[in-house]
Amino acid sequence: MEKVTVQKGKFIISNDTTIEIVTEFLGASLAVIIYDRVEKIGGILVCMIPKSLMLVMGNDKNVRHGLNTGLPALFKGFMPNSKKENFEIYLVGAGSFLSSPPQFDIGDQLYRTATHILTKNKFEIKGEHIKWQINRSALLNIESGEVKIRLTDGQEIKL
Amino acid sequence: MKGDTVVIDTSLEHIFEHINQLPVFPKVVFKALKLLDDPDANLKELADLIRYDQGLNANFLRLANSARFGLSRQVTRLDMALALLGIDQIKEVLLVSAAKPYLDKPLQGYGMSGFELWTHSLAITVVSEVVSRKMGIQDSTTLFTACLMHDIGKVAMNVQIGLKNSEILQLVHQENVSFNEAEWKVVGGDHAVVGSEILRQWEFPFEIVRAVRNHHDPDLYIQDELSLWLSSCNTMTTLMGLSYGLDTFMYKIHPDLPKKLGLTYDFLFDVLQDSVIEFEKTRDMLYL
Repeated sequence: MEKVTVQKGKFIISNDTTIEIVTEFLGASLAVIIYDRVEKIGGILVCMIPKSLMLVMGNDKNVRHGLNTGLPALFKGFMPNSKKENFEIYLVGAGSFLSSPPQFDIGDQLYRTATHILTKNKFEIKGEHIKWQINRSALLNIESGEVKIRLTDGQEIKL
Repeated sequence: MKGDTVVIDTSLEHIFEHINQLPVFPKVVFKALKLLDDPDANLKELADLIRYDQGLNANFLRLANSARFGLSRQVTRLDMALALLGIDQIKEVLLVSAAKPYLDKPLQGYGMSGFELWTHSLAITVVSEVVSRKMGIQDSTTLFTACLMHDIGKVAMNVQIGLKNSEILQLVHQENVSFNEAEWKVVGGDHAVVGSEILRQWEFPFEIVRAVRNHHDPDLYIQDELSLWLSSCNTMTTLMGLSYGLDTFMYKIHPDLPKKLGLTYDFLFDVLQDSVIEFEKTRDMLYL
């Protein structure tokens, strides 16, 4: 199965059921995964920072999103085909050190920001694999909607 | 033979005794770096010094033609490549070329492939360049070198850690100590202290030796600027997802680190974002 990789600060949405969307190793970054089980459309946004440092203009392919611009852009990408009630949402990543000052706990900032935005907009999070001292990547199979986590030792976990 | 038992000495003394089995860091690189620091020297002298090192020669040409340097024409001669690259970039190519044979080795003990160790070592140098540029750090080569070589101790400790890594991880999980604290408890030292001893024996500058020694110890790295920057760059590389192996994220960051260096949220976000973009341009270097 062909794998299409999302770079950090970007998102990919697809209805191609022959592919898997995968992230690079996330570190403290947060992957927001959305799957529309009815339309078989899936997307992954990978954010490194809570707020964008770039001016987001139209569909500029060079834009690196923060959560504040990335989440609206990701949801917009599902429209008009998808309905909100068909979304399955997963959060993956946000690794953190054993202890660190808040400036370096970017995973926690990302996770709190994402859950705040999603909850405020009445989206339910179906599953998550977040935080802890783990560097992982995420895979979304467009055909099945299956989400898997891959750890640096190659181990895969179905979410 | 059946029934024979191989006993491996895991003591730190044994590791130190065998450090000198590593091939010595090439002297031609130090000579070239010294030449580059001499205001009277010229690039012809440098070209004469490194011309007969085929590996270095090829790396300069490959990198001069890579996307990273964004040159508009094909470079085919060493002297042209040196003239186009600039002093800081020449220093980087020299260091990276010389370091690669040590840092692309699989470290089963730490759960890393050779490619992952090399990727991490290069990624942290990219972060160091971004930080140096944004903070106006004058001696960016010193930070670059410390970053590049900071995990050299893992190469020397790999076998010993491999025999004890489950014990080390158990300590991390049960006692909430950092990976390097657990290394000290189990084998009597960590990869930072071993790495600094290797660099001392190879006659790296004292401040680099000290920064590598300190890079995981919050009580030590808080005391000098190079150690602070090395630790910060390493931390940011981990946040970017470019640290691998058993010890990833299993460290404690000093609460005063951002204050000591004047790091704000926006500065960190800016460095992380730019470093990711720069690293994507640097991938050619991974395949030297």
